[in-house]
Amino acid sequence: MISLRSSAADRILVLGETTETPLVLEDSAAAIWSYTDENISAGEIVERVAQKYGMQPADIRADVLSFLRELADLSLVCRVPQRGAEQV
Amino acid sequence: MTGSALTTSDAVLVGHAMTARIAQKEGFRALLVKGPLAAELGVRTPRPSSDVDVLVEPGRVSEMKRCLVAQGWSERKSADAPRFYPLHSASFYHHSWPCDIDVHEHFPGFFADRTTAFAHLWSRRSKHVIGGIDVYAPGSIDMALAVAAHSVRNQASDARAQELTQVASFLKADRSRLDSALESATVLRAVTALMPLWSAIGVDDELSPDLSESELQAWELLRQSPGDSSALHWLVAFRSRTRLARIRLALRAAKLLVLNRDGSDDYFHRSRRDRLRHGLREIQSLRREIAGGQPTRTPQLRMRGRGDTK
Repeated sequence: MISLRSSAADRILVLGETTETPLVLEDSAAAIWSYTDENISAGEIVERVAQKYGMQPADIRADVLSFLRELADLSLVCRVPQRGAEQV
Repeated sequence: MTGSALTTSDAVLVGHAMTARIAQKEGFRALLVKGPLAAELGVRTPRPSSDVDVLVEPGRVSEMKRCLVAQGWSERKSADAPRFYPLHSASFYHHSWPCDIDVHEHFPGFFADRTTAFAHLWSRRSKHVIGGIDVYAPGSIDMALAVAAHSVRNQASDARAQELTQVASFLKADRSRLDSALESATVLRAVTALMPLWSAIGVDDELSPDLSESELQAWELLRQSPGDSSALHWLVAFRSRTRLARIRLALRAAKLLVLNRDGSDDYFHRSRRDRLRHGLREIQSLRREIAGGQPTRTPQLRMRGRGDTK
């Protein structure tokens, strides 16, 4: 996995093992990506993002979970079962 | 949440990590040359790069090419020109990447045999981490020589001339750097090719030439056509033909250099646009050459047979 911060602006570039072109993550996408490094559940990521952008978790839950599934489909993150926690 | 455009500078950075990852996975050695790492090593000031230049250990270049193709990259077809010296690299493009990857079998200006040159550069390599991947580059002294060789080939460009001055300053700042550069250039057989660098530093009088006449001519030929050597190969061919044959050659050159130089259909790719502009300039030079009956930029050029140069 190649993951690096762009020299310009607040962007993260990610190139997986099986993807041909890098994903360019900005704003909330970059924030979500950085949270995936912290070994926290999808629900906690929703909470963190909501807090960062001053929104209600319920309002962004679907979008965040959808994005996490997209990352998982690209094998950029993996689903780790956690007891009592929400799964991606 | 995704889908922002990939900038050229970001693509070059990720491209460095990607090619290094390929080498790591496939078990061969590769050095990233010039580009952002030259600035990181202090050889020159940072400037935008439009290509990834990767020097692959001798005998493993085809593996790098195969891996790039497997990841969706395509090799630009080299223009169909008579070849008076071998191509030193192959360029790859990908429709979703705004940069090329140039895979080098050897580095132009370093006339030592490829195995010796690569082993020397590898033994003095620097290690960098980009995106979590270990990326290897020549050490700062050898990177300075590589940047200088590239600049010497492009001295007509103000940017390259400035770059050469920066490299000269970098080496001149410390006598041990300069000594190391001279020693390395001797191993790489790059002393004569880098004479403008030594001249800028003021040590050219102390040095002995290290190239044969045919090697020197090959280097001079390459310097005449820095962006793409094809036009120079055409020019050499022109000079050996009759007037009628020259006209036929001009038509063929125009078609290959302008209309379909690399076989790709990505005419709006920035890197491709830059090369296309260069090709157009070369064509204009060729036209002046034909009209005037004399070479416009190669007064010292003499005809050599195919295969005469290394």
